[in-house]
Amino acid sequence: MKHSMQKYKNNISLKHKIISIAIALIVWQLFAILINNKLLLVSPIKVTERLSQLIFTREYWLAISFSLLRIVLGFTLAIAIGLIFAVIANKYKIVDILLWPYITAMKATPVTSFIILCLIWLSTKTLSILTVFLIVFPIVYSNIFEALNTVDIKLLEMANVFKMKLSKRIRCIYIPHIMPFINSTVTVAIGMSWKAGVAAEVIGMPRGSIGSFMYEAKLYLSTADLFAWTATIIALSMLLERLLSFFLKLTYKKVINLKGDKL
Amino acid sequence: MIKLININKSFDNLKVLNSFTLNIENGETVAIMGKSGEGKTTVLNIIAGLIKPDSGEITGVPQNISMVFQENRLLNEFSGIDNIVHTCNANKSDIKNHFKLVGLEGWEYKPVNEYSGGMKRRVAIVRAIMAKSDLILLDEPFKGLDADTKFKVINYVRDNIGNRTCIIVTHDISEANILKAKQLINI
Repeated sequence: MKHSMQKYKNNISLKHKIISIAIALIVWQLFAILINNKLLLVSPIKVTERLSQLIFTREYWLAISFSLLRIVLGFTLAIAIGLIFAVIANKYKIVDILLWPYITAMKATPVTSFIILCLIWLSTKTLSILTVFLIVFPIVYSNIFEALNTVDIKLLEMANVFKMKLSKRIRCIYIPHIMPFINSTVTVAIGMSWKAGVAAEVIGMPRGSIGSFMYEAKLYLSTADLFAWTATIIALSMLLERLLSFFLKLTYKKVINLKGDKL
Repeated sequence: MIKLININKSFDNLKVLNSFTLNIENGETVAIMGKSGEGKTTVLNIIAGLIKPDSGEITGVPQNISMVFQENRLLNEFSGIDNIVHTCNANKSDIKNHFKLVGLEGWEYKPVNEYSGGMKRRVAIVRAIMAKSDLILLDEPFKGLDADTKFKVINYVRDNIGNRTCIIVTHDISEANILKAKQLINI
């Protein structure tokens, strides 16, 4: 069964991924031994040791929940609002024209500009929500707008001739077409959300966030802490990406209902 | 009665239809024949409302139309049976019976992107036949079917048109004869 979503499946097998991670860790360990300065480059063994200490602290999990909640909120808002605007702009060309300067500016503006601007507008606690939103929204809007513009016109003509209901057009024509776009957009956007969200936290330093702990690590020259928090962010980003990808595939299969409701 | 009066249509300054006129009685089967590129599909698309003529008048086209397009235009991610359900709101047991008549039994729940070209064509034909329509437009519907299947499917179409109006575009006069076309229009 070849669904269009599978076109976007990563081709590297799990076995090869494990081998490449192992090699990368060995290379990292060798460099750490070669440099022999834990301020400049801490070894993966030391990072693992520090991480195993951190995971047993309350602050670690509170920081994760603080950052995760805000980044996911900003990301979800951007996906929802980006999708709504893309649908409206697809229907009314004027909306796309009016949004064009904002989208172009948002795409070109450096993350730090957004962060500083958001610091002026908002409290440090809500800073990452708006920062993530401003980074993810233009990506979602552009990709979904592009997807909607490339829906097969011949299928839409068929739907017109057979007078298919709007709900069926959405389910049978639009969703199968835009799902791969949503999948790839989400994959790219989730990584960018963490980068922008944590950057906002490092600059805004909301108390108890991952970013504030990273800033402290920098202040106290604790490279092991910095690497441990970075590893945490990578793991969270990957976990979230996997969960979203799984959820999207599940939704897609439910929408397609390939087995059909047998009588 | 469906009337096309003095229809003109050009694409990029290329005149495809020049004062084309056609009258079709309700319940009649009409075959439009002619060489490729002479506007047969354009006539069907104008009747279906997919393209507008440059000038001329069209009257009597019913509201409910079903069509076999030149391409299959199926929902490739969906099963054969769901293709019919979602476009025609037909009953699944009826669809299964129709699938049997065109030799698609056992394939009902498989996604159409796993079907061969001929099988996809048959789904497109079943879809047009099963839709609750008053007018059936068939644009080279039997293209790509092997001889045996073609004969079976032409008979299926003939037996299931009922008293609906049917317009078929074809290059093969035998198809028009089996479908008992009352008019043969040469463009």
